Amino acid sequence: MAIPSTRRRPTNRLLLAFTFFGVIVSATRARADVDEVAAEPPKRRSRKRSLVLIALVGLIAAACASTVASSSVAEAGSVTERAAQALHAAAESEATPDDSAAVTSAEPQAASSSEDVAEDGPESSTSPQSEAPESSSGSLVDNDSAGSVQEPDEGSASADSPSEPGLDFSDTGLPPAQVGFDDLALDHDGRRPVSLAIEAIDVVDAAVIAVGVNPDQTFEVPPADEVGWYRFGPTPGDEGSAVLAAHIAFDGVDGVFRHLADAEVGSVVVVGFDDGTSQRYRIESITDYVKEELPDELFARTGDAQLALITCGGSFNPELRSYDSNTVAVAVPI
Amino acid sequence: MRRLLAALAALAVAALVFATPAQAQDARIHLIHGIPDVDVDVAVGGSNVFEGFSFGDTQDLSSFAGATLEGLQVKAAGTDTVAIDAGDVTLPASGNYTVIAHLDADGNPTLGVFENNVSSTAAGQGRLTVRHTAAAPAVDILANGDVAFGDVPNGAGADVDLPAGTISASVVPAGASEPVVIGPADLPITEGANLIVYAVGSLDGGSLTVLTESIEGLASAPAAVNTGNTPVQDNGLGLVAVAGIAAVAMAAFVAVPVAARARR
Repeated sequence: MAIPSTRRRPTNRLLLAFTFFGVIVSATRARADVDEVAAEPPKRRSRKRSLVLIALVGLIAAACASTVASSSVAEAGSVTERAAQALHAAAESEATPDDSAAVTSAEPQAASSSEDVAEDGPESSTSPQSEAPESSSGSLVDNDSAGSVQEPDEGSASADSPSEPGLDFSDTGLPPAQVGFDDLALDHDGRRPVSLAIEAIDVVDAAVIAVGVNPDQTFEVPPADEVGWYRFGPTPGDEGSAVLAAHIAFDGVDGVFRHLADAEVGSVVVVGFDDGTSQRYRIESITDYVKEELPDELFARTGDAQLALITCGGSFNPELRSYDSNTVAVAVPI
Repeated sequence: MRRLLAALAALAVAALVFATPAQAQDARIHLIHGIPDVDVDVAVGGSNVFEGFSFGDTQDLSSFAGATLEGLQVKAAGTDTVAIDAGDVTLPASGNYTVIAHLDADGNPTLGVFENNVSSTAAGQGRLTVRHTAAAPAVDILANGDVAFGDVPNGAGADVDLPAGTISASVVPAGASEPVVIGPADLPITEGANLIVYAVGSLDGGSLTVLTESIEGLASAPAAVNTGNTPVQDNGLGLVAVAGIAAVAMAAFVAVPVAARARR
């Protein structure tokens, strides 16, 4: 923050450098010319050329300076904009926690048959919450048809009609359906991850917080100095792929996973839990994926226990203010 | 690229063809006993296949997907009194269904076949399905005090996707705000799961309650993981470059006029 120029995009910086070098080279050449000319008298001419040169350098320098100024102003502008957005988002997410499940939908719809329910669905049942945007979410889907099965058939009830061969009902028992509301699990219990250490990349004791998704269903990545644990997925150490994500850089500040790409296979990862326990992992792979191709399996709820550490990588798109890839380190318990 | 696409297309066609014989394995058909206080025997073709089947009991009929249960009858337990004579029942060959023995609006036993919505839920969301399988008139189902499903008659149901969390649900007669006949109860909307709630029993008989089942594994991964909005700093290298350029520029500013002056 202190030195705005370092935050400029690398391409700009390069351009600037080239411009300067160009100016300097031409200035040197010009001066050589000046020297040649100066060897023979007409001093006024050489002086004139020098003045022109100086003016030129000054002009270009001024132009560059103004570019720098304007670009950092623009950046400052977008930073405040982003800050405002972040605040807004924070306010929203604060509003969500418990009443987040509100279903307001609206006008009672005439549902004399299940088909009616289906047709009326999308409009009449919407969820106002930010976490449930447009989407298919509000739909009362039509496959919920019901009806008693077939007409009674007196004949088939007779004792002589044999049971269809091959139907063995001996092994079809399941736990009974839940009766009443009392035993419905309302919360997910067990330990929660609270800290992360990856010595190899100077992550010492980073705070881990439980996160979900943004209104647009993207991962709810926490501020630059925190790591987000995807609370809808597995807890680290449990079956499936637990996910911890953190910024590489946010609003000009390095994120916790700034150097994730520099970690190596074999690097040790330690996740600390709220009950004082911890789980050690060993990094097995580090892979870059184009964002659109980030494997869903990284969020698997079942399968062998693993830890997926996710941040951004690849090239930065200044227009979108976004990276085109994700860097993913997958670690297994040790 | 075109060859790749062609190969993918061929694969897709093959998958379709080969999916057909395997469909029985994709089927999930559960049978639930949804009539309170009545123990029953279930007979197929005149022989009892489940005896002493009681309220809430569940059987997995998935392995019979596509088969016809000939002469399916539900009888009062230990008797030959037929409560439901369903005749020949052909089970769906594929898909996700729940068959529930329940009371119709007039209090007579019947079998309801419901297809469960097992499409993927968006990241962060869960699904709530409600089904009216009780001996009661049409109802409104309220979630957090508002009508979520209006005027649902016996034998009908509906579902909605909601952000994961807890909602307070209650059931009232259609178009009325009271009496609350079921609930209010807190329902957990679990991310990636379809919580299916059956209203069962009889309003007049004072046995109204609910049965629930849950279908998990519907979750989707987040749409994207956006973990950076600024380019990374080059560990001071950029700073050095900028400083270097500035120094050279300065030198040029100073040197050129000096040289020029020297030549005067």
